[in-house]
Amino acid sequence: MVRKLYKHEFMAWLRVLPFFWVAMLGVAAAARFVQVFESVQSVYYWIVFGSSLLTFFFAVLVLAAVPTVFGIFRFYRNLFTGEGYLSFTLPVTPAQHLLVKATTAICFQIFSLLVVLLSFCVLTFGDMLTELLKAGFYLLKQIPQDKILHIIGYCAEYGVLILAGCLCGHLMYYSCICIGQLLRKNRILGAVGVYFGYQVISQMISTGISLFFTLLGVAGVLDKLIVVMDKYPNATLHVSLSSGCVISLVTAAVMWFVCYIIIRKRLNLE
Amino acid sequence: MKKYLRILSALCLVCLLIPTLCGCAMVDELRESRATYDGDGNILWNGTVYKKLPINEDFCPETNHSEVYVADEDVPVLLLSTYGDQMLTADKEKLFLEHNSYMDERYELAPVYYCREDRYDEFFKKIRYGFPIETVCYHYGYYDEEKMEYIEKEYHLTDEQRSTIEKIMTTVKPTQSGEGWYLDYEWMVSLYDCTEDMLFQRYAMDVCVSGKTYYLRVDDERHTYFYQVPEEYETVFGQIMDAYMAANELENWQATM
Repeated sequence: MVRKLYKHEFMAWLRVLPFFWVAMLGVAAAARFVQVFESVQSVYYWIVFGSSLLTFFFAVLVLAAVPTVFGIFRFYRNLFTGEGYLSFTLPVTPAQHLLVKATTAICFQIFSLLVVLLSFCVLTFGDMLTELLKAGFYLLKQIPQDKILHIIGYCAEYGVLILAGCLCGHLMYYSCICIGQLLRKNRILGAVGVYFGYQVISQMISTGISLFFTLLGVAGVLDKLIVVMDKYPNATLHVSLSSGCVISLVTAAVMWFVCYIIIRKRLNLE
Repeated sequence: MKKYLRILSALCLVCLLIPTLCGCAMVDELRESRATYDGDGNILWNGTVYKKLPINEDFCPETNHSEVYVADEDVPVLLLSTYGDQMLTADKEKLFLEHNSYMDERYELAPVYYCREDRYDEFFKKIRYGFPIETVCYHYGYYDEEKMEYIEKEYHLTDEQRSTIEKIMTTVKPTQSGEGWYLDYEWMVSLYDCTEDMLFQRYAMDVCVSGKTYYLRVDDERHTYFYQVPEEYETVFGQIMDAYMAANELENWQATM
């Protein structure tokens, strides 16, 4: 059943997202086409070229936001509006519902990222793209042999961090909706309120942590740690990236738990 | 038939578009700005060899800030500014390349010039054995409101003006500044001994104006001397200062507007 749920979820996303992908590629192609006239070094060319680049970057921002917005929309409509009565009659557990929604959203976020990369290739098609690739390979060749393993490690850690961040972000929005739907009225407004509540709490925690470490630094407790960090910069970066991954995954687990409990025990459909 | 014609015209359009979509002016410019060292310390740029000239403070070709990067052949053009030595083209004829990274004995950045191979001997001789003084000039400038740019010009002294200065230097007894006598002047221009092409310039003296009296100010290693211009030569000096005063008046007028 989960497979069918995935199939329908993917189909629903594929009915909407390709429109934005094609638009993104179209904007990139148009911006590239404008560059055909770069030999006309007039003010009008620079205005049109600047506008096309601005449109491209605006399209990138839109495409970055669309999977998140559509993910929230799908989650709310499928599970908490009238559709929820149908969704929860399916032989699928709340955990599986959450898993399908979150993984599909992340998949399409990654697809959208790939489309952005492809559109960047379209934008720079020709000599510029060739030179960019040459520059990239040249820089890769400049990496000393003893650093290659570290670089691979950094890339893997960044990849996991991005995935964990996406998962954490989506589950945070889902948990906002879940908590908001506990209200009798103004559920969406409640969800927005919960989102701002999360932001306030995360700011308080990060401020508290930085204050704590500042005080430790003033007291000289961190001196030895700083010496060690200076001595082993690669290990320091690995540890900080890995701890970022762990924090994101732990936060995602907490959000998951909040959603799971509410969907399982406190479901309050319209 | 119509269908095939459409397909054919579409293919023609694509074939025409592909070459235009491949080019990039920025990459082309960077490719043009690539130069390499030839192994003997010379620079090879656009098929021309540039040889390093000895450092000389009198040699000062005007730089037009068009950049050239000297790097190995395998460095991609987008990384030229990171991995290459930056040079500036000096002189409109692309005769010189200027490099600012030489540290001289005073630990100051001194410009190093690379000269086109075909003119190297000529400039090397002038640097090593001294250059002929072909003209004496001073620099002045003003802001052109129509072109919206600062215009820099040189005023070249006529033969008569030069001989007048020489006469004053030989006939007038100079006053040494600092021994109970100071000159409070309002205007001053510095005169330079130059070659005709203005590539070599050496500071010669200053012309100072105090009230309606002109002075020639000459510095030696330790002292400053002033030669008061006799009344009979004031007209000649008035002519010398005319261009400078006109530019100055224009600037003052612009400042009050």
